[in-house]
Amino acid sequence: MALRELKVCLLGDTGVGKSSIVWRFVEDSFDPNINPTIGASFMTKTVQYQNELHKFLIWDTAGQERFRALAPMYYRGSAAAIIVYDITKEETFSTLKNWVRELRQHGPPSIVVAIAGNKCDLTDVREVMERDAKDYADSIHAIFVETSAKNAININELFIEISRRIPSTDANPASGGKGFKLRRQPSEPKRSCC
Amino acid sequence: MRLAQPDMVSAAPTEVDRLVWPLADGADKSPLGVLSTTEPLLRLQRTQRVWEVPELDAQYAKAFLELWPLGSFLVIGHEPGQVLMLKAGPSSGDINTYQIQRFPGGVSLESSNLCMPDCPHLLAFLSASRDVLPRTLLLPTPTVGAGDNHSDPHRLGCIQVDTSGRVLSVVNQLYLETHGGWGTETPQQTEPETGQKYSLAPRKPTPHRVSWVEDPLRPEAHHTGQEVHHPGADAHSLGSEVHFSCPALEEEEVNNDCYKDEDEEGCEDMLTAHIRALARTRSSYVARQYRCLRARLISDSGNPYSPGDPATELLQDVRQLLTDLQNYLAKDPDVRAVFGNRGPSILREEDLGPAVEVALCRAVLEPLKPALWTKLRTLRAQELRRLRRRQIALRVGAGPEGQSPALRNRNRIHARLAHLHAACAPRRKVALLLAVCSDVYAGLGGGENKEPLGADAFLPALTEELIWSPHIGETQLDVEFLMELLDPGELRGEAGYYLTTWFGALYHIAHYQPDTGRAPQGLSSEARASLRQWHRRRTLHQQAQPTAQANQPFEEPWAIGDP
Repeated sequence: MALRELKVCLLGDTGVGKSSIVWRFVEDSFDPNINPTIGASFMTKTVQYQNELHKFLIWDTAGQERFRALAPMYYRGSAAAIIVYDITKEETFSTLKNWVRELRQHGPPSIVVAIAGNKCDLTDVREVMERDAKDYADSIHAIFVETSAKNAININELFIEISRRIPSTDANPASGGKGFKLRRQPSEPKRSCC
Repeated sequence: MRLAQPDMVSAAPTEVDRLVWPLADGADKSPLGVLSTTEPLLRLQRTQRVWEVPELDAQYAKAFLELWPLGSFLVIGHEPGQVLMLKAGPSSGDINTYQIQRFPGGVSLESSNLCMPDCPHLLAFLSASRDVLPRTLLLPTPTVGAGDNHSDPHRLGCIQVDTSGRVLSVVNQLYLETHGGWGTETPQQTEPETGQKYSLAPRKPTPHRVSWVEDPLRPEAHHTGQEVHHPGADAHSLGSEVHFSCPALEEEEVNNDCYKDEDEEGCEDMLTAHIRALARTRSSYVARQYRCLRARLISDSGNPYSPGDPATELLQDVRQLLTDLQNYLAKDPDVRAVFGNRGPSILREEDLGPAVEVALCRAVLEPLKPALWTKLRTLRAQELRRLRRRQIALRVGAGPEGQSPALRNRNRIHARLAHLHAACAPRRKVALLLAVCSDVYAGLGGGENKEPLGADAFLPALTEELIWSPHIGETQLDVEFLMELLDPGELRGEAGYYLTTWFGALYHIAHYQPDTGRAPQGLSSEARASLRQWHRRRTLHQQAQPTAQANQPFEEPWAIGDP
């Protein structure tokens, strides 16, 4: 079975739960003997997808504004980017739109973009409507899920969907069609970008 | 503003005091009593790297001091040329300089009869009693309660008046943001003397005197190679300030088995000896390649036909040389024979490559290392100077070293950074770099629900550690070295992630411009060029990536149309 290493970059404001999502994803395989990473900023997990093994190399980024200029070093060469926002904080959704814009301008051309609205267990204090976020994600052809790292909701589904969208090795990447082709949609309507 | 008066403390000295602070005659105003409290001394010891910056030149020191309150000071230069610079008055000309003289019994200021065991003791005294100074010293503030600085209009005014350069603005902003450095609070507002505070081991009195080579942890201290610095010389100077001359490597050096990183295998194995012998045999391919790179390292001229960054190209050539030699040697029948006879254990074909790599690092890379580092320091002189300047500026704002939860790890981290620099083989360096990362994580403690903390916590903590690193320039070069020498495959994995993060943290220190507000908006053309350069360099290792990406401009999407 072919093993593919997929670099995945995590983006989003500080405190939205980026590393919690990944931690939840790798938790069951977080055996020091199996997954000997030294910390949670970089973690890996291998899953089977159809007739391939996908080894996710997950690169976390610091969400603080002062470190934003460093992001290109992290999303460079990524097969996918997971942009996380907090459904209880409207401003984190605005930040997400900026990340989409930055990836569109500077990210890898065929990067798969996934949007994760985290903390969906806190519906009482929700500020971002699921419908709005879904519409936005659809308009940019991004994966969208609401997740709860706390309650392990939609975490595996998020990565399965990323696996599904990654162009398979035998297909011509340029004609994959399913991927989020940042630079191949120059005429995208403005509304899709905020 | 705090101006400590000589009569602020009048307690009688104890016998211990008399022994600890022997005083020459001529000291005025009951000097012993002044120091019957250890608070100023502890504060000076804990903030030593804020006020003692040997490699800072007088011009920059003056620029810093002009921003700070009256009584602020810096100790710059190396023995015996160490000087105290004091902000004595409000105008820019009011920066006084005093030679610090060393005697067998201690230190004193020129024209003063007062002699103290060391600098912190002398400065502690001068913070309470001015002696020959026009005013008492204002000590750096280890801790100020959060929030109380921003609202201090006096300080804001003081800081904004003299802002005239970029470096100065950085100091300003960090000062305001992180409450450190020279404060204007009264002594009553200083941090309570908690048990925790005194549980901190006093730092070495003069850490800047301890260079890489004087550090007992550094094996290179004991060898006779070119990289040994003289105590008191500018051992951790940056770039063109390097005081030792370009080494003239002799043929025998190839055979100089003087360097061993203590954690690497102790005795030289047959394979290493064999490759060393090849490197000494004039006509051999190994020797020709070796001489070629060596000549390049000690020559002054770069490649005039190459438009790229010379330091990066040099490192890429080193990598090319090592890869080339490794491939060549792995096929060499003699090498294979030596490898086959290496010992009682069963040797597998797949072990040959790594074994040759290790031996190559010892036999070829190691003898070239001093010259390589000298060359890199020279090529990167300007960048490293800036990095060091910004690091110093950030230190002033970063508060005392004791505030990081990782404090207990810090000495260990510094020791590991010294090991990292001393090590020669890329693999060994990576292992040490990851060990430092583990220490940083350990200092963070656990997150909620015992989940490990991610980059939101790690990158700021690493940055903080690097701000206090005594040899940040060497760390920068170590990181660049590894980024160019590691296999492209490794750069996507854990080593690549942490190298990227270290590079990012160092980049952040060198380029942070808080006065521009949101950093990405304020990204200077210089910073954009640097990122582009980084991008291009890393893209070289990216087999599948189209090169077009390397030339993208770094316009910031954040700057326009923010919701």
